[in-house]
Amino acid sequence: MEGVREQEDEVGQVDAVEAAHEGDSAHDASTGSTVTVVRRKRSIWDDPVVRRMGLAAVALVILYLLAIVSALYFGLIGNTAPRTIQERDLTRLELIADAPDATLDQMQTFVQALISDGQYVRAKQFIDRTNANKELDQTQGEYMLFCLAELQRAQGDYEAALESYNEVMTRTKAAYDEEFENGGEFQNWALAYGLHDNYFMSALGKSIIYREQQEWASAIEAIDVFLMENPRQAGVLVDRAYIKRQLGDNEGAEADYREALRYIPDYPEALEGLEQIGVGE
Amino acid sequence: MSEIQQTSELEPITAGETTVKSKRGRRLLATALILLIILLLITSVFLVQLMRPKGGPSGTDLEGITWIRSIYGFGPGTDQFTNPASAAIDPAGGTFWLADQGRFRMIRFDENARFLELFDGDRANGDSFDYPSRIAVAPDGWRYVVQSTYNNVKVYDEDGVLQHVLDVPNPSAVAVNDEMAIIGAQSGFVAFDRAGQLIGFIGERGIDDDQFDTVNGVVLDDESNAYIIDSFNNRISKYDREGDRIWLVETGAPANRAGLNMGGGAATDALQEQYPAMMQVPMGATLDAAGRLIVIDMLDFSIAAFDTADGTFLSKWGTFGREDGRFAYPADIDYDPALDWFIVSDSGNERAQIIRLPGSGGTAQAAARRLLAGPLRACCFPLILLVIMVILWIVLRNRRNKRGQWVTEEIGEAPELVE
Repeated sequence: MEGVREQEDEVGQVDAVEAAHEGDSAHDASTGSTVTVVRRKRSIWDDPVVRRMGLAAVALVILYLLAIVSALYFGLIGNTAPRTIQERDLTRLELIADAPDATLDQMQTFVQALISDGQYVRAKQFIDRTNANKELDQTQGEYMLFCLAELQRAQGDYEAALESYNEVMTRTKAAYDEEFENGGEFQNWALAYGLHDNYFMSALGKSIIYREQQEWASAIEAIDVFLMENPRQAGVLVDRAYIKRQLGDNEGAEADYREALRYIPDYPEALEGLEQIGVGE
Repeated sequence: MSEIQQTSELEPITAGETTVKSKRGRRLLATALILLIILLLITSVFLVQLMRPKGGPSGTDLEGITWIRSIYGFGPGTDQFTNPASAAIDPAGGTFWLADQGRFRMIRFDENARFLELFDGDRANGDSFDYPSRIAVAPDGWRYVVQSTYNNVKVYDEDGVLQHVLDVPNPSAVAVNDEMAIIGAQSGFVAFDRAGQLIGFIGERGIDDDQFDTVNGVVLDDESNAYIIDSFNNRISKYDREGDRIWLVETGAPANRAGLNMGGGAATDALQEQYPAMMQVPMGATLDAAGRLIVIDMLDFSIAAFDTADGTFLSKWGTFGREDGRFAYPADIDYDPALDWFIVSDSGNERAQIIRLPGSGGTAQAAARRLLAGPLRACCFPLILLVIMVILWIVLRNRRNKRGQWVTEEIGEAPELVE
C-alpha cells in the first residue's frame, strides 16, 4: 500500500528504504507497507515546521524594524524639542553652558543637571572638554574637579569621589590662602567672598557618602563643615539630626530638629524626627 | 522500525511527496527564534526608554487632571516658546495652533505634537503680525489673530493670505464659527459676519451687569450662542444670537474691586458660599463634548467647569507649579472633540500642555484615536503589516485547502494503513 515517508536528516538514520531510487516504491518489511521515496539533497528548510519558524523570525524582524521606522516617522525618537520640564531645563542649560561667554558656574550647573538626569557619559565628556580649555581659570572653585567628584558619587565610586572632594577642598583652600596672603585688594576680595562654595559643597558630598557607608562620626565632621557656612539649611540640619541619632546623641538631634523648625516651621521631617525621639508636641 | 514513520493523514500531499522532519533544523530555528525574541524584547525596552520623556508627572497628584504631554516648542533654542498665549484647535480635527506672543508667530502641531508649520503673517504681501494675544481657527481653516497692540484682528484664509483687518478697540479674545466671529474687548464684545461686516457691539466698560471689564474669553456654540468671560468683573454670561443675555453668573470676587486684600480675595467660608467657583481672573474658555463650559483661571492656576444651561458651577481642577501637569499663569484653553482632550497655553511655564479632564464626554472613537496618538503609534505600521500578513496567510491557506480537497477528490480517499 502507498504511504508517506518522513525522513530524518540525523546522521545514522539512513535505512534500507533510502537506498531506493527516486520515484521507487519500496517495501518496508517491518510494517508491510509500501513507501514512495523522493530522493534529493536534503536541507533543514525541507521541514515545513522549520520553514514556518524561519518565516516567523523574518516577520518578527520586519515588524520590529517597521516599529522603529514608525517611531522615527512620528517623532517619538530623534525629536529635538523637549517634552518635559526636565528636558527643557537641560536644553536651556546646555545652550547657556555652550555659549562663548558662559561662566564656570553656569557650566557646573549644566554638568550637575546632566548628572541628575543620569546622563553620565555626557557629563564626563563636558568635564573633559572644559578641562581641556586652558583659557579657563578654575583655580578658585575647582569647578570641573568638583563636578567629577559629584559624577563619581552618582556612579557609586565612593572612594574616587572622596579623593576628588578632598582635592577640591585642599585646592580651593590653598587658592583662598594665597589670595589672602597677597594682601591689599586681593585680601579684601578673599575676605569679602570667603572660601569658594565648592569647598563647602564638597564637604556636604563627603557627608552623604559617609552617611551611606554608615560612618557616622566622619559624616558629622563633614556636615559640620558645610553648616559652618550654611547654618540655615534646614534640610541639612535634619540630616545631621538623623546622624546624631545613629550615634545615640538624641539631645543633639533634638537641637538640630528644633533649629530646622526655626526656618521651616511645619517641616514634616523635623516634626516627625521629634516625634520619634519622644519630644514631639 | 523507529526511523520510518507513517501517517494516515492525507493532507494536501500528492503522490510521490515526502514530508521531511528535521530535528536539528527545528532545534536550531527554535533556539534562534527564542534568542531573537529575547533580543527584540531587550532592545524594545531601550526604545521605550528613548520614547518615554524623562521627568513626566506620575499623574496621581494632579487633582483630577490627566497629563498627556507638554509642548515646549519644536526644537531647541529659539524654536522653543517664549509666551504661548493662545491655543486653537483646527476644526478639521487632529491639529492645533499655538500662538507665541513673544516670537510673533503661530505654530501648528499634529495630534502627536509633531511640528507641522509656522505662520507669521502674509509675508508674500508684506504682512506680519505682532504680539498675537489670541487666535481662533474657523471651520473652513481661516485664522483670526488678535493684535491687542494695534487694536485689530487680522483674518487670514486657509492659505495664510490676509483677507480682512477688523478694527476693534483693545481686543482681547476671539471665537469663530461658520456664521460669525465674536471678538472680546476691554469694554464688551463685537460680532462680525464671516465677510468681515460688523453685526453689532454689546457693552461698555464698567462693573454693572450690562458692563464689562476686559473680555479675555469668548466661546461660540453650534447655535451661535456666545459665552462671554469677563475677566476683571470675574463673571461669565451667555448671550443668544440676537444679543439677548440668557444668564450671568459671578465666578469670584471681582479683581477690579479688590482693595489691598490680596487681589480677588482670600478663600474665606463666606466668599466660598457666595462664589462656589472661587475664581480669580477667568481667561480663555471652550466647550467640551459633555456640553460643559470650561474656563481657565490665570491667577487661580485652575480650570473650572460650568453648566451651559444656567451657568451653575460644576467642578474645578488644577494646581500651581512648574512641573508638567501643573500651571503657572495659564491664559487659554481649547478642546479637541476628535481626541477628547484639551490644549492649555501655560504661559508662565512657557509651554502648552495637552491634558484630559474628568467627565468631558468623549466618544469611543476619540479614545481609540487618542490611544494611537500615544507612544503606541510606533506600532501603527507594524500593526497594519501584521493585519495584511494575517489576511494573506488566511487567503493562501484557504486556497491550499481547496486544492488539497480537489486532489483528494481526484485520487479518492486515502487507504487505511496496515500495520
